[in-house]
Amino acid sequence: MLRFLAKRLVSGLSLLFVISTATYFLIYSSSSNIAINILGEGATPDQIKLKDAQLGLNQPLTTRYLHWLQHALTGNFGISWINNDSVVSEIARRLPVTLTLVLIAIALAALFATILGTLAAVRGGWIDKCVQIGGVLGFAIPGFLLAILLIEFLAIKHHIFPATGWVKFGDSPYNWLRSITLPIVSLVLATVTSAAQQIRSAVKTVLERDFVRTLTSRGLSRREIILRHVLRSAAPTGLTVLSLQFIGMLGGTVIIEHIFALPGMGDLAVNATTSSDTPLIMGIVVFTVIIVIIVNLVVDLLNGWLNPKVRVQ
Amino acid sequence: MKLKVAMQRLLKNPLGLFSVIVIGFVIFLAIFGNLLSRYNANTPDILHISQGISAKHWLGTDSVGRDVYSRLIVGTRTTMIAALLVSLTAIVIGVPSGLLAGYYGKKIDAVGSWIANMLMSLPAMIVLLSVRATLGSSIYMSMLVFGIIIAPGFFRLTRTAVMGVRNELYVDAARVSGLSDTRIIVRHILSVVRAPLIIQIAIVSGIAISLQSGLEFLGLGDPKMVSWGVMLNDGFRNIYIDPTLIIWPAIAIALTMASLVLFGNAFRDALEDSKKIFSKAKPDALVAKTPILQHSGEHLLEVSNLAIGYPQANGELRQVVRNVSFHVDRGEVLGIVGESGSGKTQTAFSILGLLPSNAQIVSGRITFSGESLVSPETGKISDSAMHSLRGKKIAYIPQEPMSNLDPNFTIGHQLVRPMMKVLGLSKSGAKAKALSLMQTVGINNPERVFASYPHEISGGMAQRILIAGAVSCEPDLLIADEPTTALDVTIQAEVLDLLRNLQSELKMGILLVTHNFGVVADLCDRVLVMQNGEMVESGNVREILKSPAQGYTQELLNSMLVDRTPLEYLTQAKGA
Amino acid sequence: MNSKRKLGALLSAPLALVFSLVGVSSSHAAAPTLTIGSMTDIKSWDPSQAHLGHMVPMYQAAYDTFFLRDSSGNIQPDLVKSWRWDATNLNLQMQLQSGVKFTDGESWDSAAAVANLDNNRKGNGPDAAQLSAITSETIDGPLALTVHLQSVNPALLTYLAGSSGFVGAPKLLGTPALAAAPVGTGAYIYNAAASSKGSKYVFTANPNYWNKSEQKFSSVTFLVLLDITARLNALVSGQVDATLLSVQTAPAAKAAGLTLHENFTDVSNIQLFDRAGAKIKALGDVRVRQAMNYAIDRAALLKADQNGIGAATEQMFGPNSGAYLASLDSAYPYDPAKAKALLAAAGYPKLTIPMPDISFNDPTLQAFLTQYYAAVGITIQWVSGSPANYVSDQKSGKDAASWFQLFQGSPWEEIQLIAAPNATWNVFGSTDPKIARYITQIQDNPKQINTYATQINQELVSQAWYVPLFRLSQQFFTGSHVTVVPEPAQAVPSLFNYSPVA
Repeated sequence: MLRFLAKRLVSGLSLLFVISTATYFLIYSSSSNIAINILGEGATPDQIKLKDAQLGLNQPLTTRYLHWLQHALTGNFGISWINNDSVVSEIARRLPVTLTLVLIAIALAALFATILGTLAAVRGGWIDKCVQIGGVLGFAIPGFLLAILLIEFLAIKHHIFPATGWVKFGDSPYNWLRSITLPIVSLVLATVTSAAQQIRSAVKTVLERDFVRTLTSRGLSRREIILRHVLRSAAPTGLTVLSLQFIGMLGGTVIIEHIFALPGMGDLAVNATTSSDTPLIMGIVVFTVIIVIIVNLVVDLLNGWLNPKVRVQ
Repeated sequence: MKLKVAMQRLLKNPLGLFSVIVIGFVIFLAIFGNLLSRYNANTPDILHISQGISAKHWLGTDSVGRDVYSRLIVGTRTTMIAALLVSLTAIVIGVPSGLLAGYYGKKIDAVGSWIANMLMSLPAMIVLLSVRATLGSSIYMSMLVFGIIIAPGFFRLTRTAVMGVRNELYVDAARVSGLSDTRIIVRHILSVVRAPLIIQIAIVSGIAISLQSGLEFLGLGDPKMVSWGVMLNDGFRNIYIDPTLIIWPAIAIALTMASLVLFGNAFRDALEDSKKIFSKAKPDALVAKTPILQHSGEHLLEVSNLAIGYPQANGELRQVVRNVSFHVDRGEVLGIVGESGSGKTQTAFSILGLLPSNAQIVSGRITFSGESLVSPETGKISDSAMHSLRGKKIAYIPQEPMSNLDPNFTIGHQLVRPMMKVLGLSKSGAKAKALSLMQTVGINNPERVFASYPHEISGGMAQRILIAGAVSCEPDLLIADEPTTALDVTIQAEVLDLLRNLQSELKMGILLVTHNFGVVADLCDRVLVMQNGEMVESGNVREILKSPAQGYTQELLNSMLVDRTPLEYLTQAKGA
Repeated sequence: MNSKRKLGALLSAPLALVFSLVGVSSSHAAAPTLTIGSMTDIKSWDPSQAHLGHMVPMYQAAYDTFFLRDSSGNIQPDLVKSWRWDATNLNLQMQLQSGVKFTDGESWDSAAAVANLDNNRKGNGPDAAQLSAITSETIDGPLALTVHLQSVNPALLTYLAGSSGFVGAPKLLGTPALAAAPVGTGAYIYNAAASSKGSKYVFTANPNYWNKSEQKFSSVTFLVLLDITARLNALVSGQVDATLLSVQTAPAAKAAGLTLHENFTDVSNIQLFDRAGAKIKALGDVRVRQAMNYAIDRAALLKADQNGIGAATEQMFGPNSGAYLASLDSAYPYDPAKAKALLAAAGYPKLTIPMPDISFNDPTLQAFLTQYYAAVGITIQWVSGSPANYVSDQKSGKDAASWFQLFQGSPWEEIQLIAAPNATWNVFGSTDPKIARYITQIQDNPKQINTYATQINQELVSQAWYVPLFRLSQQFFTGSHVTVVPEPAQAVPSLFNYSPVA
């Protein structure tokens, strides 16, 4: 086990290094206009020169990269060029927002996808068709449309939820819950379908397997067989799909964050990238990679725990 | 399964049919759309902006005066090409690498997984936007990049599925029989991963369409092209001025995405689902003409005039068991012997109530210990009756040990749980009983095996476990389906001995299904020979073996007795 | 201490609490609050980093300015009580308000004024160039100072009433602390605990504010709502009292019964940088530029692009600038035939002009500009670029012409923006002897600025340095709790122009 973790750690670090280097050089080409973008149209050439010097833009690429790397290794990711705030505190402020949304949304999506997918696979018939059609609607309606429909009915016509904004949990748990409900509903509706369909498929496949029949012959209830045995076997597919969606959501929540004015990572990443804010982009990339490495590790461990055969590797 | 057959099944599924129609229509538009458009999709007309539906403009005009209908039609191609780009790129990169990594493992897997992790760790938005800044805002470029970014998803799915079956017997068998790796991968393994892949492809294509509109919303798309995403965004921007603009692209997108998912499901079902055709009505013509007498209840198991059929696609009923009658008493072993397809296993399953859901009990009566399981009055297996009998009174030993154990639970768990449920034992009580049972069936190291997983024990041991499980609740009737066929010859004999001992100990009745007369000779008291669902002959084992009345029985015997006379064989088996 | 006094001491605390609670609750019922939806975020609260336009009301919460502009655009006292230009118009004497304190305890005096002027000049902020005319300051007394300029700058007071005039606590100027939390003399105090960078900035009333009549709310909150849909929904659902919407979202706000406070600040136009014909020879010919003005049907374009909201215009100076001439708005009526004739006469019946792509921002406008120009033989080649670099790309001089939205300010501001040789948007450094002469005359007679600015305006129109399209209407809406008077030549209203609705 320790060896496994150690191997993963080494692999993760190498990943981190390669990705951060590649990203730094990728974004280099678009950072030439930074100074004037920050200062605006009224800036004089002297001002621009001063800004360039302040940001270190007049140094060669490799120097800048090594400089960044040196600081990053000590945990200092510098100051965001556009926001004037330390990259770490910027991310520390925004990451919890996105993580909250994504974690809750994935958990709910997992729950509903399992219920719906299993129902559809086990019952078949018109329940199956209903689940398929119902699940598909949330997927097929474009995310921002769904969001504004929800806002229109539940925040404007009836003031059940706030139309925008993020309330910190510490400030008011009740209002925090209210402020995340509509965004999470939008996210869940968009993602539950694919997981449900994969789980439906996996459950259907497992139901055909011999051991299901044998367990039935032993007198176990259908319910126990499905909930315990069938789901276990169907789990790897479900887990894989959900982990992929989690990772995709880390940046993909940007539209929801825009519409609900939630200060999250998706928004931060898009703004940082379009304005070529190098320190901030690098900080986001590093943290995202770390999160992805952790998620993959957790999924692999879970898979191993659920399915012993996979552990053999 | 042949593609043609799969397509036929697909079209029978209403959701599948619907999705095929929609997708087909969309593809048609993508190819021929330009011919069907009425106006230039890009020409603005400042005098006719935001007009409603009219004869001139079938779907009205948009905020710049362009014909909505034309834009919708022409935009199909851009939208579809983009979706196709994403899927193809992801498949081409992800599936072959996933197959290789899952199959070969070790170094290839390590490298592949590392690269996949790297691609997955890249924050997609940042990469997309950076590439766009450097390489231009073409939507096709963005979709290509996105395809590369999500290829790891396919890699992982493929790899997971392959790893799950890599150690299955049929793969080993294929390897042993000398099939090349490529052949194995393409033939056997690919068919296993078909299902999740198909669904993922469908979903990813849908996501690609959704991504297009998302990028447009963020101002990061390619507004010069006509695509549904561009139209959707236009409609969204002007939603308070002209609310109807958003409807048409939204419908197009929703319908297409929905159809993709439904198609994915339906196609997967068509390929993977075992062919089950259900029929409501019971064909009168096949109901037994003569009334079937009530059973007296003197036998442990009594089966009269059993007939089982499966509805066919053309409406007919294919009978797999016709007019079979027999009985089994306590303490005796009845063998049902026949070739594959003779209906012997179907008969056994019907007694257990484990027939597939589309099977129909055409006629017959089955009574167990005086309780009616199947009667002509009901015409089907009584679920409630079966529920209380299974495991407790009627037990089952399957043929293939490894595939009949859940690979995710320990042997111990699979022995203990049914005992807890059926016999009401406590966990520790059930464990004690399981351990003693394991010793009884000849497992030397019960504690170790108890904690093991099925893939950690041999086939012979697994079969013993299944036997132990079957007898754990001391059933009255044991139905054994070819219990020794999958085992080596040496183990076969041991298992047969085991069965014999258990039977005499527990005074069970055994219904033994087999194609092997040797086993019949060894274990059975009476034998029933079946062919094509019908009884050929039945009677005392010694008599049938010595002088079979029917020619078919003789043929069966002959096929087993190469260079031997019957009596010799019998003597050998008895003494072994 | 005897027992009676002990008891008194014991009781007094909870009693005080009770009384204060009662006091708070009763005043809460009467004290109104203001919540504004902002479309920008503040990157640094240091006064030197303020930028004109959307950020101004946010800085106005905690900071006062040297001067104030009233709703007619006239300069009024603020932190400067009285002032006087000398005969050369190069020295400005200022008398400061007395008895004003910063919320960190420092006093407002001439030293503080100098510190702030220097900070705003040298802090490398977006509007630092506005104060470039200032060379030095002399302290004449505790509340008196003189500012020395190197050249006449008629807009200096306007600048000091706006984004380069914010005054912060002298000891904190230029420090990260001030960048993170504003400390000034203003009507409201920043509440860091209740605020959240990037989403919400909360200010509570300054109990010691020196100009109490301008303090109308007990607290002011700014919600950062970058997305227009979010702003609309926040306003309609009552989460904010006021915010800037757009022409496309205005119908929804009107339908919800919200109040419109229209304001004109920007002019949508095509900038013909290359009027000397360096990159595109054709643009050097005035007939070509005039043809480009004749080719557009501004009224129809306004209807299509702005839903008819706004005002078609053919001059770059706005009606309140003092340089506006109504007659100029009919200088180039829509006449494609004339345009074609002019182009032919100039020798360019067919012409291709590359311009930066604006479809990410306004695809409608792009589509129609293409169509109008195509109709007279000009092919506009839209060049793709990165939206984030739109401004910087234009400034780099790589485009001979481009579309943009320009601020319409006071005459000197406008001249410094579009006409002077070193004007912000005179990217190719175009010069014209007449315009140069007018500028000199303004500097000699700043009081006659309107006369000369009008001449400049006429010159710009007849020489067709620009293709003005229409003046854009800022669609600012308020809910039922507050009302506001828009500030002329400012994108969003100043904070002190809000008042609660009884």
